[in-house]
Amino acid sequence: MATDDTGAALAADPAAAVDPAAAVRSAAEAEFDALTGRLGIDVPADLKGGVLAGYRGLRDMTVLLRGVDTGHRPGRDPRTGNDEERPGA
Amino acid sequence: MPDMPSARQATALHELSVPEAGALLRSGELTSVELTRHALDRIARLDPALHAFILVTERTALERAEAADRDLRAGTDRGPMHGIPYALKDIFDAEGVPTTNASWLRTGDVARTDSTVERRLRAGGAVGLGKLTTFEFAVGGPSFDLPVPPARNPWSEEHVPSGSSSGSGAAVAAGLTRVTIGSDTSGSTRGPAFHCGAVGLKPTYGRVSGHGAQTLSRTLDHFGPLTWTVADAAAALQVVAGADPADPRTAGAPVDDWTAALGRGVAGLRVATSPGWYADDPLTMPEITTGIERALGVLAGHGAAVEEVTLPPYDVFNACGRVVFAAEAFAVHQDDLRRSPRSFGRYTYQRVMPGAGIAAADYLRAMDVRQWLKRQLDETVFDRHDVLVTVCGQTTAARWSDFPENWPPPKLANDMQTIPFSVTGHPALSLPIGFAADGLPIGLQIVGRAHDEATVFRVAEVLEAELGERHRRPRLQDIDDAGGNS
Repeated sequence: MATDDTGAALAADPAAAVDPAAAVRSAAEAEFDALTGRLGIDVPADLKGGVLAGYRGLRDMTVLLRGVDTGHRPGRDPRTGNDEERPGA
Repeated sequence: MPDMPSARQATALHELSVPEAGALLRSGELTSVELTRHALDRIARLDPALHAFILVTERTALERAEAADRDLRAGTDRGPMHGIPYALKDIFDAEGVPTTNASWLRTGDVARTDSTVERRLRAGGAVGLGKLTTFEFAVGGPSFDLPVPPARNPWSEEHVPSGSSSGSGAAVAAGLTRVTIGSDTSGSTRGPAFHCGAVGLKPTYGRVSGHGAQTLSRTLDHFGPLTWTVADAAAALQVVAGADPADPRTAGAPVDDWTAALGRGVAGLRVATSPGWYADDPLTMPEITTGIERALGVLAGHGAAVEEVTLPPYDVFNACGRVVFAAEAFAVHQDDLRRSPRSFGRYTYQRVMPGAGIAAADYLRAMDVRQWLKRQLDETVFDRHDVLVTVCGQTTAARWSDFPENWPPPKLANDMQTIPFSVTGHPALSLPIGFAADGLPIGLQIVGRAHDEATVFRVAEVLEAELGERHRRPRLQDIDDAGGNS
């Protein structure tokens, strides 16, 4: 998920240099700002804290999911989209 | 089933189950108009404090009740919900009335046609009472910045009813109606059922059509009944289930006779249990762990074989569901999030907006994991067992004061272990099993094989009879009639 934008933001954030948790928060915020900027979405400042808290949680979850061994090799599995449409089928 | 004439005489009408009321309607000892007037009267007296209803359609309810009575007198029986009042979560369209989604963005939206759920209930002779409060767009939270106030928990004014089918839980617990239809994307029917002491069924994915209902997350959305008893849920599902050409998610699986499945007991069934998900978690209330153990003892006493299983880690199910949910919910609402962020409730915005950050690769990865989890659940549990009995909520209802200005609240206010079966699509039912020391309802979750709601109902019915305390209603002080509670 890291972007050049994120790296630039990290270098410019003095808190990130001394606090790893702050670095993660800064990286997530920069990343999210870049993504929403591309979508043309401007998150109101007073709502941003809750949004970023949610985004950081999702970010951790995507990392967790990448580590799950499902035995599936992307690009080598002829599964159809219907499997995802009907998870209970 | 109690003797019919005495049941009619001794029991308030809202305490008649759907099959009991149906038998009285068919014998001519009760009319749908009487049943409907009783419900409307309770709504008028109790709902101003509960806020379970967004809209009460009194005139059309009485018209439909009169039609139901006429049909029965003429010998036309439209099925298990004929003449029975119900209400819809206000995400389902019903022709001619608004579908507000409890949102400023939808306050003027009058439905031009029925949702499939409403159409089937109407064709089944059921009597729509109106629309029920929901968290905004079936997501959000217990919010005070929406066009309608949040529903209250009838068991305690200090506690939330949970959501998002919050009005459904409140209305059923307070005896305003026996039957509601809700939606469940990650637990939105099972959660309020658990925290309001009602029965909440998330059927198999695709079992009930979502045509004409607000989409939240198209591959996680399920639609189903939230009711007072298991028999009520079976009757309601009987009417609303089935393939629908208007919703390609609906499965071609046959609609079983679920009401006939009741009364068959659990002897010979194989029951799996998974204490590893909750028993050692300090967040889980001891009464819930012991309640589940007691329930397993009941099933064993009725001839079921109980065996402990080890499931894949809960955190993987949760992560998978959250990532899919976030990406799909954002996709639904992105235009409004861009154009009109202030039109959303604060919680809704903060819950949906993070999905903007999910990359396509991560969404597809979550979908791969999802298929793996479904296979794991089938191999671990359902290859050798008929049902899984597990935790539903880990604590009783959260307090209003647990919810801060910004989402998310602390985990204790969001403690449901319901999302795994939204991820896999298996049918899952939230069943009340009594009360915790704080006086609030507790329950458990019964999960079945895909399309095997019948076995879920069988297990639930046995447990309900022994642990469900269906005679016990919330005491709605100062507003309820003296005879309505116990």
